[in-house]
Amino acid sequence: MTHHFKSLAAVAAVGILALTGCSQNDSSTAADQSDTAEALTVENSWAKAADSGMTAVFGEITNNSDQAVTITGASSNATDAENTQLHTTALDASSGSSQMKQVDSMTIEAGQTLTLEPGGDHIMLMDLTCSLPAGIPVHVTLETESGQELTFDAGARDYSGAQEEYAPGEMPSGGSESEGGMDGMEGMEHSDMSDMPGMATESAAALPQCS
Amino acid sequence: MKHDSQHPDSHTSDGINRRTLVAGAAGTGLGVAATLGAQFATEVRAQERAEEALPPLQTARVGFFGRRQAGVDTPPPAHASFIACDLNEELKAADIERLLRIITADAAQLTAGRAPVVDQEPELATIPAELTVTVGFGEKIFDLVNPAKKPGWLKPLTAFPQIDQLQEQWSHGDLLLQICSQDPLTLAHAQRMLLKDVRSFVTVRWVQSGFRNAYGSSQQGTTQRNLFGQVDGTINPTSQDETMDQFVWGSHEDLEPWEEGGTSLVIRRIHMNLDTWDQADRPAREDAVGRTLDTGAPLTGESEDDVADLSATTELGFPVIAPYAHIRRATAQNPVEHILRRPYNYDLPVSNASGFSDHGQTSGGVSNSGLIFCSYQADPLKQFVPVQKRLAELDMLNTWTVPIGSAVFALPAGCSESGFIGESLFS
Repeated sequence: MTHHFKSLAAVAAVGILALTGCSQNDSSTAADQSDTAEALTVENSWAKAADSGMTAVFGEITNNSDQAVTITGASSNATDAENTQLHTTALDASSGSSQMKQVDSMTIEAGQTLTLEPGGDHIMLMDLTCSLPAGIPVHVTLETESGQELTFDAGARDYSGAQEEYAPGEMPSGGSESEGGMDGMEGMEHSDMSDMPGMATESAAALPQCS
Repeated sequence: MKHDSQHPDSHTSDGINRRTLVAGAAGTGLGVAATLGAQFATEVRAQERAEEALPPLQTARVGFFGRRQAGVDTPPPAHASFIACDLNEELKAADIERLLRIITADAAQLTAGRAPVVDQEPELATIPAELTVTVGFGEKIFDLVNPAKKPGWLKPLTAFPQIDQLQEQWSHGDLLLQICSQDPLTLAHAQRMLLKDVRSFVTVRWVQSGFRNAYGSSQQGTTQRNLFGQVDGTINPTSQDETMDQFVWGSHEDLEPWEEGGTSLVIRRIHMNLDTWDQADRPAREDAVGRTLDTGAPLTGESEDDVADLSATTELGFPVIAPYAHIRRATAQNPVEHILRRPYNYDLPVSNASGFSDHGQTSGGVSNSGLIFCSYQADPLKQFVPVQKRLAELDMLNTWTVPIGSAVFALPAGCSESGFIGESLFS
């Protein structure tokens, strides 16, 4: 059984609102709050713009219901399903550095808001199959443990932060805005990226724009 | 009442999330609607009282959405930045749409005192301080997106060789961002945010930053002074009568805006030679303009608002307001020669500076001062150029001023919350 928490138009509108100037603090449709047991809403969603390689999606996911909701997966139009992952940040006690790693699920308690933000939890899009220049949306679908789905649009925006691994004063190692290519990085710990020189998309042809 | 939107068409966002309050009420059933209505009103009043206790600029918002862009007939606040950008070579119409959607989204947030979604210093976005962001188009945007909509007047002004010393670095531009605010920190943050927004689409061509009196310095409606000490801007279209609508927004029968809700901006950087101005004593200064310096009254009148009597003569038969006086030369010769002047002073730091600047020079001396002369009108060819031509031919004030930059922009109409600035070019 799948049913959408709210019409795609209303949900998508929350993401699209970020592009067209609507108030981004609007709680999405209080009028739409249904009697369904689970009701997730997304506000202030956005994605870091990227030509290729990997990037991330951020936003605030609120659980408006009275029961915990567990997100178990995600998919998007920007990459293959297995390359759309839930990621969290963990502090490596031995090195003092932050590392991102994939997690199987994220649970949002009743009434709580999960904030996906640079330096914290996020939805990772690895090995993009289309480019996300600033100003266009990526369509993201979250799946929950109970089999329900939440679809929203996250507007891509240029952003210097959200580096995969950040050390002040060093060259960035993560996929930066208009440079490309960390292709084929599935399965690698993000911390390994720091050993990679800044890569240009020498060999890859420009990806088509996501639509 | 709290200091709130001054934009005539604004959609006021007053910091109360009314939708949240209503949502709370709606969930509990219809029977208690009357009580909850009263409760809602009480909460609104409490919020308003809380806001009244705040420093005024923290709640001073100018609405962004509407049929006209804000920042034109909005009373000018203390600080302004005008940023002209050149579009990257490879941009297509679809790219320009992306750019305009981003600018619109972030401008709407910033002017409401809210941080845009990618704002990395959100705490700098919380004081709206009458922030306005106004977008202008040069020719290239029309050429790329919709040549048919390009207004006929959208090109560089005709040359005024008698006075111009135009520099490329202060002239032209494909896209204009005009950012104004009472608070310089609010402005700097909005400027930074918008520059980051446009960075992958344009190069910044020039930035002109200027100032007027600080908030709280003068009574509202006082005409400000320029760095010559002159009362500057006495005769101006106003929203108090129909003149703003007629001459800026084009409702006059002899005018037509390039699009409903749109207007134009002519922005000329005027170097002011304060050293040679110092050589002129007070009577000479007043004679050059035709107004007194203390009140700005015309030499034939008592108060600033008096209409100048251009036919008045002295006992010897000479005109009281000289043939070469600025206000005589600027007087409208036909019904539409009225422009909205909304200028900003500039005064840049100089290094290694000493001595004096000579007539006609645009450098030298210990100051680098002038006026960012901004003129808004429905049709620059009909309204601005004839006046500027007369002044170029004869105006004693030219003795101490030199135009060093010039640009013309078409200002698109405003937009709704679901739209974006400039959208009419794309339909």
